[in-house]
Amino acid sequence: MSKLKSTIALVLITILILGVCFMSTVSFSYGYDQMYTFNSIISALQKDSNLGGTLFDGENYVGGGYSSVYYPEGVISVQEYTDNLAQLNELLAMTDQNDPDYKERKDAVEDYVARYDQQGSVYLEKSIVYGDKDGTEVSDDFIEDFENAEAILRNRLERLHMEGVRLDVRDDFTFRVTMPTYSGAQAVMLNYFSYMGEVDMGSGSDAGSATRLLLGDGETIRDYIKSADSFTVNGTAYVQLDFTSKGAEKLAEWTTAALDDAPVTLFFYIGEEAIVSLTVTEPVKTSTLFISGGYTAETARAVALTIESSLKCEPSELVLSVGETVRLEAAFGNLALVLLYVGFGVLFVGMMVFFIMRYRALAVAHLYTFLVWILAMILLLWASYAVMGLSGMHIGIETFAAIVIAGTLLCVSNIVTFENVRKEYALGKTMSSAVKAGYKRCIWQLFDLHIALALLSAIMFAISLTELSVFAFTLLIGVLLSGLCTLAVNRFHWAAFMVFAKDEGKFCNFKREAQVDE
Amino acid sequence: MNKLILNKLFSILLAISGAVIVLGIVVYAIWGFNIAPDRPQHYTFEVNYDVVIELNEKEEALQDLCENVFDANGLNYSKKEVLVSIDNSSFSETTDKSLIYTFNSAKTENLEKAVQAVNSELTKAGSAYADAIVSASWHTLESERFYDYAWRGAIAIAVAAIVTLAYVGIRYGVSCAVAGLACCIHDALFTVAILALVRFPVFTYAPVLYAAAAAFLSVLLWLVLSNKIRENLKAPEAASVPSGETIKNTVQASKKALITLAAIFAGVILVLGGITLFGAAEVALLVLPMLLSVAVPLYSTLFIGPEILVPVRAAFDKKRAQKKAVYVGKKKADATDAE
Repeated sequence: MSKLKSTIALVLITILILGVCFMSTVSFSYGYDQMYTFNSIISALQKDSNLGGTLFDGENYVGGGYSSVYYPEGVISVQEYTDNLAQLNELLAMTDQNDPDYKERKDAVEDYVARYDQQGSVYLEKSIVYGDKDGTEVSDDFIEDFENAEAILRNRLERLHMEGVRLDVRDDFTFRVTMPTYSGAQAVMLNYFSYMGEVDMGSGSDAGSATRLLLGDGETIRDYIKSADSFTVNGTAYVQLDFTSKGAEKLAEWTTAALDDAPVTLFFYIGEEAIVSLTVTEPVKTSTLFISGGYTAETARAVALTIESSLKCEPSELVLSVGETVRLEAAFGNLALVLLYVGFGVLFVGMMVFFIMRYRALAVAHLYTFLVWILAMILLLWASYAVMGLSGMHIGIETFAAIVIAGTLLCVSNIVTFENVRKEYALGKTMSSAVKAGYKRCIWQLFDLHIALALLSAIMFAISLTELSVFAFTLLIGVLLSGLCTLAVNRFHWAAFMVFAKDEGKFCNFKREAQVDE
Repeated sequence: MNKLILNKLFSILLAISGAVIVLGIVVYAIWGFNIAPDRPQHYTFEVNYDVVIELNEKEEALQDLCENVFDANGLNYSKKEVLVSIDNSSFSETTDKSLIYTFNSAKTENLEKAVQAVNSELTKAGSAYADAIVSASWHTLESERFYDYAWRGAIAIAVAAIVTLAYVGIRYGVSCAVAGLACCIHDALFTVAILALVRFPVFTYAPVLYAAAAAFLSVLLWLVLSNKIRENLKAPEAASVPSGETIKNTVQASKKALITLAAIFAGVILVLGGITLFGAAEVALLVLPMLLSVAVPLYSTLFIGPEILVPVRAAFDKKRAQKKAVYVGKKKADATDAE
């Protein structure tokens, strides 16, 4: 490579590295009155529930999660009980004892107190939870419904396959559901997942007055609807409902009217809540419905999971209402991410010190290779999360672990090539033939190593879920890029930098065998 | 004599590995992993308040009040959070907040006393919090466990190891693949078995991650050794020496390189874990056990893999030799020529 070509190539690469480095790490405000904000790729990458941080605008928080409490009908919090009682007492206190309403208001207070029983940190409405207003023990029906609701929620949340999803039974009578922010549809999920009861379908002009399915003796909704699923094609998300032949007949019957009259609207319910409404303009003659419109991949998944779990699990008669919801910040604290960056910085400095001590100016070639590798990693991760929309992908501790392991692999691979070239150079070869021979000695070893590790990561990514899947995916990208960088990019950088070396041996801290013997 | 000692050592190591794995499986089946960091059962003390507390700059005083009450009732919290409340209909942030203290263990009567003490302080006549809507409560929480992740992870590691070592089989020979697969499965199981046995506190999802890291590093170290073995077996001087001896000599010669490689990975984990120890102990708790995922593959690559490789390779060599001996094509041709 000539000096001119090397200079041009290195200048271009340097500009590219600096540009991507700037985009990846620097956030700033710009425009009139600083009204626009550019958030660096690293800061804008969605973090998992353990990590998180505020974006440069100071308002948006990436990472962490949301947590809601589901209250079954008949169960209220101490705060709600206290507030309601305080209101009734306030009304009573404002009423004169001679007022005709006084007795009524006094009875209301006494009724309210008699209606509830305190159990730890919740109040239970006796007639609903005990099955009798004079009861003292939770009824078997309530226990069974509560256990079924727990199983349905577990099914829905587990099948989401997301890091940071959590289900707690709170105070023995309520549920606390936690969703990560990166899920992208936490509001919809927290709302839909509280729907309990049997799946039902109906046809009519609105959800409230629609004609509902009349199940015959011994029939269940499973005799009509087989399953629910979701998928995304060309950016459009669909909810897929599979019907039995009986269900398909019912659909055809209900939608036949669409030919003659106005469009027919079909409704699908969970308990009394309509979860899907579908306007049909022609008769449906298939046993599968693909429903789109307004869904994202995540919301379609939430709808499908809600229906599917209600079909597959024992139904629960509980009516759950979504109570207090809070936004959770990073579970490991906001310092965790900063310390991980610091750790990565320390490792980077340590790596450079080693390479400079061992290989002198050749360390610059390694530095360029490493920067190309890490920036390509960041861009590919960003592209896979933001552009390709790989579901469930996010930055977590496992991402850092994979980056560090793959980065170490790159460093070790470069050391292997450098050492092989060192041995060839020591035998008396010229630098270019030593490089050629050195690479020839180890190319297949490194090729096999990277292919085998990439294969291992790819299969793990394909089969595993959540954290392991993110770990394997990051490793896959890291290993493939490591192979490419060590076998191609590093060699190119070496050749480009070597042109400027007056003494090639000194440049790389390589010595001839005779010199070694001295 | 030397061979006898080596075989004995190998038998002892194999027995130790087997015992650790079996015991680990038994302990896991009975008690599972020690998932204390995920707080499977815990208590919370919550104070919900409106914007008045913030406007009156009483947030810190409220926290001090709670913490003094905890001290008086012998309660030690493990986590403190101030969380923003969300409006359920618009899913936007409100001005209300929740101050939440988490307790890994506590006596419920003490929590009840603490709630009463804080509430009476908040509502008493002339209280600094009189203008605000504020109330305290305590809760018990018991988490549900999800199992999909664990079994899918285990299958993923097993399938990935088998397919990867099939590739190794094509490139380095079946004997290398068999020994490598044994090492890889051993490393993944041994790593999680130790975690189960020593009851080391781990996050629920972490054991599968450590097993995957162990499998990854196991393949890496085994490939490094396999490369050296292949190189040495191809050397002209290896023709006159039994392959078992060449393998053992190669392991001896590669020890330094393998230990250095493992030490680099261990050093990287130590630096990352060590730095996060100051300020993010939970990250360190997640990162530092990964040292096990480095140590176990090194142990198996040095002591177990080669000992499996030698007899397996010998068996394959023998089979190949028998196949060659059975071949009669040349004899037949010679006989025809003689006729």
